[in-house]
Amino acid sequence: MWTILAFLVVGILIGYLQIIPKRFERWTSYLSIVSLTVMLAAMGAQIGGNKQLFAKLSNLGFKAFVLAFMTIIGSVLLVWLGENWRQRRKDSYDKNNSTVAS
Amino acid sequence: MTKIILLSLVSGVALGYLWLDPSLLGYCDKISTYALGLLIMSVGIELGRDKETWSRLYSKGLQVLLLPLLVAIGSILGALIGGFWLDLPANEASAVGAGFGWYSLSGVLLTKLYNVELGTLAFLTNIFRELLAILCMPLLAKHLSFLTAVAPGGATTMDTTLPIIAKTTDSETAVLAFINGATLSALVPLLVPLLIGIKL
Repeated sequence: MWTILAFLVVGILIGYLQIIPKRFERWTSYLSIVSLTVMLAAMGAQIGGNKQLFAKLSNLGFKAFVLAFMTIIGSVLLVWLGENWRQRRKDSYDKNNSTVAS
Repeated sequence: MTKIILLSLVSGVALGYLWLDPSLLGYCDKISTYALGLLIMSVGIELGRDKETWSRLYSKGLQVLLLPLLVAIGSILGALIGGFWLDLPANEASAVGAGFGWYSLSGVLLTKLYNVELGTLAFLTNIFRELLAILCMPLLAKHLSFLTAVAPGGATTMDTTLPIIAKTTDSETAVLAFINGATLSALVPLLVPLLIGIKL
C-alpha cells in the first residue's frame, strides 16, 4: 500500500518536473505495457498455482461469480445513470441560460 | 489492449497451474508487486506531465466524491440482488459486496468477524471482481463512457486497475479513478463490519 503510493508520488514528481528528456518520453508508454504484461502474468500464476483456491472454486466459485458480476453491473449502471442525469441537468441549465440571455 | 490483458493473464494462470513449483509462488508475489510499482510510476509520470488536469479537478471540489459514492451504492445493491437470487442473507451478501474488489482485506475481515466460509466467498468474489474489471474496462471505455469504465474496479482503481484505466481513458479520468479507489479503500474496513452486523 505505502510502496504503491511512494511509486506514484515519485512518478508524478518525475513527470511534473519534466526530468525525462523529450526524446525518451515514449519510453514510459513502453515501460507501462511491459510491466503490465509481467504483472498480469505473475498475478495469474499466483491464482493458477494456488491449488487450494482451485479446489474451493467448484464449491463457492459459482456464487462468487454471480456476486462479482452483480456488483459490477450495479456500479456501472448507477454511474451511467448518474452521468446521464448530470448531463441532462447541464443541458437544461444551458438552455435556460441561453433563453435568458436572448 | 484487451488482447494483451487476456493473453498475459491466461498464460499466467496456465503457467501457475501446470508448471510452477509452489516454492516459486513467493517470487511471483514479489514480481507482481515490483511490476505494479513500475506501472504506477509510469502512470504517475504521465499524470505529472499533465498540469491542466489537476487544476480542472481541483476546481470541481467535493463533486469528485460522487463517483465513489455511486460505485459503493451500486456494488452493494448489486450484491443484494445477486444474494437474493442465491438465497444469501442480506447482511452476508451486502458485506461481501462492500469488499469493492479488495479481496485480501474483505476476505480476512469476514473470516475473523463471521466465519471462514463467508470469508472465502468474499475473497473469491472480490478476486473475480478484479479479474472481470480488468477484462471489461477497455470495452466500457470504448463503447459506453470513461466514467463507467472506472466503476467495475471499485477500490482497485487506485492500484492494480489504474494502469488499465490510464491506458484506455484520459488523464482526467485516471486522476478521478485514483480518488475513487482511495475513497472506496477507506470505506471497506468501515462498511464490511457495519453491514455484516445488520440483522433483519
